[in-house]
Amino acid sequence: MGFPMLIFTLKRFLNSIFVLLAASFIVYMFAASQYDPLQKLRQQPQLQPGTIERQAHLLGLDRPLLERYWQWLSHLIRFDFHSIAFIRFNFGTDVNNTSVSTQLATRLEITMRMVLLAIVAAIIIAIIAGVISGVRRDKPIDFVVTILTFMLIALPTFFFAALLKQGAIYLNQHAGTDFKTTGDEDFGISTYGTHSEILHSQLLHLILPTISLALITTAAWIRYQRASMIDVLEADYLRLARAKGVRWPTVVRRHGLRNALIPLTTVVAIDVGALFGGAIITERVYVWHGMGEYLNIALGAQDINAVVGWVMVSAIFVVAFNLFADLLYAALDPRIRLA
Amino acid sequence: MTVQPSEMQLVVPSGEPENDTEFGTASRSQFRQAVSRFTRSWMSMTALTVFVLIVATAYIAPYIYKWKFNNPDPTALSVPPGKQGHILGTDETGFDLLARLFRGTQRDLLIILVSTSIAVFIGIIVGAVAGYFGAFADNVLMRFVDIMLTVPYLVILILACAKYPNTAGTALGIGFLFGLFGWMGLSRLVRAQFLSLKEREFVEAAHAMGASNFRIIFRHLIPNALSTILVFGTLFAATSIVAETSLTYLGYGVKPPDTSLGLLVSRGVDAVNTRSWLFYYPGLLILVIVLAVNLVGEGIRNAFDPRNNRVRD
Repeated sequence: MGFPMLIFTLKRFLNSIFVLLAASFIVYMFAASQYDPLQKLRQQPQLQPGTIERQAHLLGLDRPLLERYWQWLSHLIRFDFHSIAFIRFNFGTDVNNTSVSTQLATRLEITMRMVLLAIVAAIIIAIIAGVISGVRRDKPIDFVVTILTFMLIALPTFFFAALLKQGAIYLNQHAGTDFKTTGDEDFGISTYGTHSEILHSQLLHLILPTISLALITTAAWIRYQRASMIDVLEADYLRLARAKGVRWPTVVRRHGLRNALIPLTTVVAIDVGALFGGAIITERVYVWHGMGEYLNIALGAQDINAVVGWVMVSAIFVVAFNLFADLLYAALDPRIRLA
Repeated sequence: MTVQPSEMQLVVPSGEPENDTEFGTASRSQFRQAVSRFTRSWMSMTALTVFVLIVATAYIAPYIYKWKFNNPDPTALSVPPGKQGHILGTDETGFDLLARLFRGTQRDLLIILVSTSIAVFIGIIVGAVAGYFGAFADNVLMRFVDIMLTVPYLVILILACAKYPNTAGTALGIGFLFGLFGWMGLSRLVRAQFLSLKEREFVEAAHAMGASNFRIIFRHLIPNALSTILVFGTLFAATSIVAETSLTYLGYGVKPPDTSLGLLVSRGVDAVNTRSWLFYYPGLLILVIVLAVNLVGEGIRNAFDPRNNRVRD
């Protein structure tokens, strides 16, 4: 890694930090000024006078907004050299006085299984289908792929997920297959199962949600991959390689595909936010106890710390992916200016 | 004293340029060419026709159709399609599904219209100011866009809609919120276009003739960014429908007594095993509408693509 690359990395990293800080400020201010965690308490009949005030004081709701934000921010990051990332986040406590970070970590682990697997699957499908469709442009296979991708783009995430679930249930009833259609693992298996049993159960439960999320996500990526493949195939250096006698499959693989893959990194990074949203919906259809459910509970309770923590986790996820894609792009394509 | 005519006055006023019939055809504006390319593509025209037909049906058919969307039939609860005069069946309270689909389509069109016009308006203004004036305005606005894009779109919508359930509970309100939080992509695109467009000669010429910044932006630059804006607008309309169904499914979107396609299909998900028509027909309608809108957008994109330029036709 050369010196300009190092400067570029540093710049992009600082920029990400700034963006996250600003987002945290806006989200915290919005949540803290709009949400009322004591709403449930207020509705209770026969409250002792002063209960509301005491509870508000306990949660620090009676202090000025800026002071509360500072309090939240100054406790946000703690260095911990035992963890993988060397830092630990502390998003404060929720209305039930349990740690938001601990709960988010459990939830995130569940959701990430689906999201990361879906990203990998979607990238693989996008490359294969996009390249075939681009190389065989205007041939029957391209036509079929194009129609399928447009239909997938047009389908709402939960509708497709529900369709898939119905199909699996039908197969389970009539063909004797055993697709898992609800939950993220067999109920209660974490209490009695061995390590491998739990893993096995989780993997089985992953199949349908991952297929559903991956297919919905990959549709747009196939279109990009196809367009970028067509662009590359029309380039002069490809014609030159062909004119010099390189065989067509080699031209496509060595000269075409390698260059056509670069734009996809950016698209994947941009769409990660949408993918996260898709995961929330897919979780709902397959009754997973992941991030989506937690947000639902937090919003229902108007729990400030829980909501802000949740949003910040999704924001960190999106920003980290964008940073990674920027760096990857710069590394893959030496033509881009490292300014 | 004789007055010498200045050089300016010697220039013969040129009216319409003469048509060079020997070497070319009549000159056509870029927009005209795009329109002709669009109308020649059978896929784009089919998509547009389907969309127009659905819109027309949704607004005209309720006047002819026997059942009304807000008037349940108490003698026909959960009737499957084709029975008792209900073409697509009824739901558990006796509402006719077809009548509700008309109504839902109308409401979704309202959502599209409101959300797209707001998003396009804000997107153009922010992108134009950032791209044209550059420097400080550009820095501030684009940082703001970066920050807005940090949080996933669906999550921003969930936060906003959960906080304002009464606004978000109606088609008008949800369209408004969509537009308010959905303009960032367009502002980036418009800014990028303006950055290159403002260096072109015709902008310099307009400046030299004393055109104001306002006039340059609205009369010279925005028409040149038209294809970007149109493509974004159609794709955003499609996104709005899908976002509405997703939000409504999660419980943060349109709520009864108002209705929408998203609400119909979300309710259908619960009934998929017992009254499957409530699930499949609304879903199919959404699929067809969004597909048509997306294909129209794709057609506009291709029509404006300079690579499809034919020199003479």
